[in-house]
Amino acid sequence: MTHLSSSRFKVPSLRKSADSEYLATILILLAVWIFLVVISVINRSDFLSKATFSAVTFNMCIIGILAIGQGFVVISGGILDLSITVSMLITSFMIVVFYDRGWNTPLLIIVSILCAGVFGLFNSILVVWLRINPLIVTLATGFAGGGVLLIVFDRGLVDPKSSIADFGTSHLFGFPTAWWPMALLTIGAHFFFKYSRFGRHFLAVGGNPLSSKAMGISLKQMRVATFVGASIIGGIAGIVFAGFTPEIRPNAGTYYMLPVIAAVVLAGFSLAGGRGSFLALFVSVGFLSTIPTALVFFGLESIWQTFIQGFILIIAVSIDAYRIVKVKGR
Amino acid sequence: MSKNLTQLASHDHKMTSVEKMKKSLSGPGGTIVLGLAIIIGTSALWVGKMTFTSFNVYLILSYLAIPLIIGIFASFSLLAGVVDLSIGAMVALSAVIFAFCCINGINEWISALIAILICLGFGAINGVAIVVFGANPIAATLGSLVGLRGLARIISNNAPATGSSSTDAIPLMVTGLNDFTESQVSFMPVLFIIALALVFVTQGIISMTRGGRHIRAVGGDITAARRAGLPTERIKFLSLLASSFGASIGGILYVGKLGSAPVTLGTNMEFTIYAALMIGGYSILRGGVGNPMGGFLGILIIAVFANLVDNKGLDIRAADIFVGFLLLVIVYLDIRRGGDAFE
Repeated sequence: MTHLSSSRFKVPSLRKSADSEYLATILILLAVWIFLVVISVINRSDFLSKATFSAVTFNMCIIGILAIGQGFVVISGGILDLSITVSMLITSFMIVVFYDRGWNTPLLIIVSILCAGVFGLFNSILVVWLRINPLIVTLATGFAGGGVLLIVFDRGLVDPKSSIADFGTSHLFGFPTAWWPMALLTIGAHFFFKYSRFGRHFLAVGGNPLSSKAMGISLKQMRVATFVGASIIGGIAGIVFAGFTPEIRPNAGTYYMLPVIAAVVLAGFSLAGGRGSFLALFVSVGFLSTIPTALVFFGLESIWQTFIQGFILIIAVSIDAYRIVKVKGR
Repeated sequence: MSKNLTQLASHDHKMTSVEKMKKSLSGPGGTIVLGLAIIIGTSALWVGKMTFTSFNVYLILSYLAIPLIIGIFASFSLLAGVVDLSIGAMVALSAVIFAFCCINGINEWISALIAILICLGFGAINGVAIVVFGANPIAATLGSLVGLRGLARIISNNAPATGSSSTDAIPLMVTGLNDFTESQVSFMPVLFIIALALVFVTQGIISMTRGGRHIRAVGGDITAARRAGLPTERIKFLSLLASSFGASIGGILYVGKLGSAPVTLGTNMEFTIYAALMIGGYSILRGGVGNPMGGFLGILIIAVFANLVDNKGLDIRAADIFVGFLLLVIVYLDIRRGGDAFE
């Protein structure tokens, strides 16, 4: 490949200003998160406890990994993957199926993640070769896939003595072991999209598909990589999910879809593609994962959670859109 | 009917009858009619004569009447280029508010008014986010979908206990409303006749009045519409209000029909209705295309399929899979005809 990498193609000063913009997003999100924690502590001093920490970190595991997958799709210009929870559940169910057949753990993990990857390949075939908009593709495959899961699997029981269940319940360096894949993926995604040539290609394709095509990047290959990659990340979430869910139900995905999209939008990812920071995503996942626990401490029933999260998403997308309008100066 | 659809597909120049046939079969109208013929044919072959008994036809029409009303109102926002995903949750919210007010001794008409006004209020919030701030309609209304469903559950949980132990539904029998939703003229439910009349009226508004042309213009090319001096913002805002109005009416009608207001009412309804409308020629990604008649046929296709699933005792979730794949096929055919392809 002789063409220039996208990072060199961009004007250096632009990249610097983008970095400072992400820093502002991260600081604002951190401030909001700390504010939430502080008012919760003022309200009930026992908020800062081991139980809260454990609840928040467990919330972060799944939402965090799915948000990285979703952020991957958004930043690469794939709009949104509305079927990412199906990728997660395919993997979780496959783990149960293969475990019951007595496969050894590394093999069953790899094969079940590959199953999610096949699902992502199916999505990308519809997007790339039939040229259907990803939003419609993933809406349809998410819906149909959910239907297939409901018909094929009524529920999946994870053996509490299995190493998968051990992984979900144990702790490592003070955090739940299940928290670490999310943290490592965040760091990995940050460096991948910032410094690797392949990662910069995703950003380029997301920011301006036509000019990246003119530079010699294959749009088709990038789209396939995006949707397969997002499904595989969804599959990793599926392993973690199987780890701490004794009984997996096919409709479990609906709970995660909204916080995941909200986290990505709050973190400043532009739904138009090409813009976003995975470090900011980590902070926004942390903030959103704290809300349910904080609500309980404020004496609100947990059903308030969906109401509040829904309106946080509306506010977040409004702010995001407003920011773009201001930048473009319509 | 077929004459109307041929007109839709054909262009100004004179064509031979064979050309016209080919054109009408490959046009959007042709796809819809073909789809409808296939699904009715399948039903006739698989279920047999029962498909055409007046009772079965009544079942199909009664199943689709309320979704049709909701869909027709929602089609205004699709036409203006803003998709409102919150309609399913809005149906549940309206039903729960209506039942909550009635149970607390408020007059039925005033309760209905309260439910409609609150839904319009949330429709206005969608409108402010999308029109004023320019938020992505899908992301913003996805937020209100989840938020409003949460609100419906909160209201339902706080409803006074009425004997039944479940908090998942507010039981409420409004006799007049129930009689109205269940009444029928021979094999046609009255609600269906009203919905069909609404289809024709909307078709007239969309295709013949200045307002209808304005909505299509805003959805088709917003920059051109703005330059032509149309109040694009106001049109988009009003179309979002129209879709929440339709959903709130639908919710109240469901309470009359079901005799209770379940919080799960309308779950996935946004998906089914938009899939049906897209099968009927609308698009959730660009405005300005589609017409109410096509939307009606799209909803009819899904209703006949749901009836088929019901009659054969199949898993009801098979319908989800069918709708998902049908949506992909229809959108693909649209792209082959020159619709909006992705890249």
